[in-house]
Amino acid sequence: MKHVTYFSIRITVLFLFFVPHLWAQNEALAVVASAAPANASVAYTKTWTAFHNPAVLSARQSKAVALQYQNRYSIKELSTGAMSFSLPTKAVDIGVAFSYFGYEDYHELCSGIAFSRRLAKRFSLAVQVNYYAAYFSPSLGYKGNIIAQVGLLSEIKQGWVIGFHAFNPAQTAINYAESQKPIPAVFALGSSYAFSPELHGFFQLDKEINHPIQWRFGAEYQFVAGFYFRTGFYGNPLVPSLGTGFMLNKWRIDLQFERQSLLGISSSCSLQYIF
Amino acid sequence: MFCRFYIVFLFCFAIEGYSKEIPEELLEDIYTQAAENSEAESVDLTQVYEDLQFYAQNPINLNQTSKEELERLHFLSAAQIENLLYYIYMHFPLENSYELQLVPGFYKQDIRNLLPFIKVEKVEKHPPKLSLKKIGTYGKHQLISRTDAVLEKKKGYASATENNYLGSPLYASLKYRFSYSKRLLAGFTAEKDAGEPFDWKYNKGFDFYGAYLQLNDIKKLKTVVIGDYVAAYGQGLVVGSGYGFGKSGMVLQVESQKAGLRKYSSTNEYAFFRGIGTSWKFGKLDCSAFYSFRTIDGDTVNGAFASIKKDGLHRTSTDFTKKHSVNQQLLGAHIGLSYTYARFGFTLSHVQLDKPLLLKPYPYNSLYFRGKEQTAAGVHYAFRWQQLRFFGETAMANNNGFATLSGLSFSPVSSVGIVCLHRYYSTSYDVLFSQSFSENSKANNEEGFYLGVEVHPFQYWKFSAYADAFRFPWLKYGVDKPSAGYDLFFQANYNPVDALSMYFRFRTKQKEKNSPLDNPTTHFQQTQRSSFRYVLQYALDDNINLQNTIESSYYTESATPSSWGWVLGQDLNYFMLKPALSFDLRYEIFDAQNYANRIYFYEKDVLYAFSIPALYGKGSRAYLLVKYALSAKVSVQFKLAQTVYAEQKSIGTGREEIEGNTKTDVKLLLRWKL
Repeated sequence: MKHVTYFSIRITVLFLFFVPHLWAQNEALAVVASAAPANASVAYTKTWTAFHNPAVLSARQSKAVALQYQNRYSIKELSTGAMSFSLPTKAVDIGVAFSYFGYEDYHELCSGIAFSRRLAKRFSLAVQVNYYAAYFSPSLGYKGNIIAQVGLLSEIKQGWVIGFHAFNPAQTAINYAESQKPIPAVFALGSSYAFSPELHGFFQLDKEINHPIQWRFGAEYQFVAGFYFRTGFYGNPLVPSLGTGFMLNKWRIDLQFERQSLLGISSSCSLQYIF
Repeated sequence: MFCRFYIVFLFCFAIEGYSKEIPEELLEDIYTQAAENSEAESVDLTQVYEDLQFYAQNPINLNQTSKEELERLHFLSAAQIENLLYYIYMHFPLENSYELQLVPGFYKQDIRNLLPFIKVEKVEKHPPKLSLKKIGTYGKHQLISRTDAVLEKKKGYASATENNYLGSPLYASLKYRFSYSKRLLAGFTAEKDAGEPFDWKYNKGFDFYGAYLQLNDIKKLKTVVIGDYVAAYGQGLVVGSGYGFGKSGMVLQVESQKAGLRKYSSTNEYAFFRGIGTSWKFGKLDCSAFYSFRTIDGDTVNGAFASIKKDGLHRTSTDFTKKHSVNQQLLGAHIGLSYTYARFGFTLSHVQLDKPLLLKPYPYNSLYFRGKEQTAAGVHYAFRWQQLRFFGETAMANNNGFATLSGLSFSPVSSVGIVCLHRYYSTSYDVLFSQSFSENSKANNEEGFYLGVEVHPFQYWKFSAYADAFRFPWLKYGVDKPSAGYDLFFQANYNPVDALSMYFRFRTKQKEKNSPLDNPTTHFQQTQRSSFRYVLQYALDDNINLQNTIESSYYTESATPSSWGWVLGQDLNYFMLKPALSFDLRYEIFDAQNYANRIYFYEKDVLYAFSIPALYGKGSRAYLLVKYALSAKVSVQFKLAQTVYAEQKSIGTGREEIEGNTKTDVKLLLRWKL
């Protein structure tokens, strides 16, 4: 009993102090960070991350399976895990994803399927349908709702890509016990520019409907073939981000770290196999 | 000569691809600026749109045009029109439209805007004859029917609401248009706003009816218009009904583009005349006379009325007590003299009301017009000397109210255009139908100096800027002392290729107003509203266009904390030629702390509908617009738009209140061309 009380207090503290900040990051908790510098993923075309811009599926057009894990501020309970699978077909590029955030007493789940199509040589349009659920308590159990995602990807000219992504554009919420738990509604607009084949710059604006607008800025540099270095900044207070990526035959590994000045270090990694 | 044709040759490829459609960015610029200047969401730009659409369908032959005709394109500055006419005069006849780039003051964007509305052909020595047989054979008919609805129920439609709306929540309009060349125009309009009854008890079916017949170029008779019409002369100080740009992104276009008498086809129920107007031309002299007799809405009490109701809404029984309660007559005349480099004119108007207008007395309106009769007269001029173009108008009303406007535009070098404008409108100059360049909504109680500059410093770039310093010598509504302010604007356009363009815009305006009553320290405070906008437009392949918009607004006043507003928008346009089908999609998210931070965001819409929602609060908005041509004669347009607010439990106030956080608008338009 004593253990339970201590645990409950700990969880309450966690949510009081950390969750407002997590939500202020303009992301749903069940959405894992991408490999893009400073998480500026909307125009990052090197890999598709679950629940990020689904139009990237048509930019990659590769059959792949991926596992992702993100730990926030070195606290196990604030971790998100995800797995995804992408399958290009003649008619449409398909992505399937599942993610899990939290721990036994409180967790959020998201599963979805994405359909992306290249409508023109330099333009892709995608929609994704997700089921987002949260576990509130043993008495309430799971409650969830269906939410949508929309993504666009345009290559304006060689090396200059503009991306747009709307997560939960209809502002759907989860209804429970005559109350509502909002799911973040995020509008993301970003651009990537290839200064050279090795050096790419990224800029992105995110706006979650209830939080201030947030900018992201980053760069990726390929030192040698298959080895990437990434860095960037985002948010207020300024969060620096540092990451790296390796391509080993059909395997791709990405690691990323960022440091929030008050809350500490977060890390994320992903492992992908490209068929 | 070789140089001339070499440049023409180089430019051919750049302008080859433009189709005969009204450029959407041109409309957007016109509409957004109009909304921002009038601070209203429902700016009626039917006149502007119909003019542009008419010339898109009946292009102007540059070898056979006039100043009046070019003025009806609305977006050309007076200097550009003069330069173009001068070029045509010097190089007559033009060979093709590519020569436009040789006209001083015409740059790529100007030419792109102009191309859908012009052609270059041989001069027709005899204009099309006005015979019944030819009119019947070659006349073009058009029937347009539109219905709008808000899907959520408003409080005003609940039966329990006191003084609730008498009609259904549907908006409906029916328009018939007929044109035979440019010589004969006729039309009929019927409209019912949402909430207005469609019955025989309160109305005769629709709430508003209008009709017009306009004939042009019958020997010396330049124009005769019967029915609904507008008249505008000089800088609009005496009669200026119609639409004027004022301050806008087209910084050099401050000179009023007034084009005499012309038919009125809009559904705005106030801003027009109803009667007859004629205009004759005798060599360099042109004379016009017009008479109007119509009813207007006023809150009549004891044989007088305190204000004119201009919104045209008759939805409640109270509205019907005001409907058509005042008779208004207008008699006007204009004499103009035109030379190659100069124009002069004299305008006279006399308005008579059957009941006196007696405004509720407040210090700020103590010198405004009151009574039953008003007479105003003015002289206007425009002339060119070397590179300098002078223009202006001075007018006086029968109560000794005085107004004067004078301006100068010139190009010191070919890549730079400059315009200066000074105006002084006395507090007692309150002429009912004046519409001229001003910071206020009417030409009254204002003095100001405007300086606009447009620079094309290097290829692909254009910079536009203006500064306007103004003062109000007498009190204003909400400002209990003489006050002053300024308005600054800067815009940079970058257009490296046809498929890609972008611009950045900054505008800031400072004014004074009363402090809140509970502020013990000061009676007045300064307010500052700034806005930033970045727009990126690009075309992918031949049938996909995209646009990204980022806009923010910043508002500060000394009594309250400053506040920000943001809008982010993504547009997608996809169109096919066979079948003739187009889709426009937009999703935007907005977060503006209060009404002062509102952001006007232009939307594409069905024909003759103008959407420039003022976004504030927190929420998102999306719309889908589908246009489909069932055949060459029949087309259908459909729009579905939805706004979802994040933190509101109701939308709107009073009878317009909707329970919930969602508002959905549906519009359907059918067009039948014969």
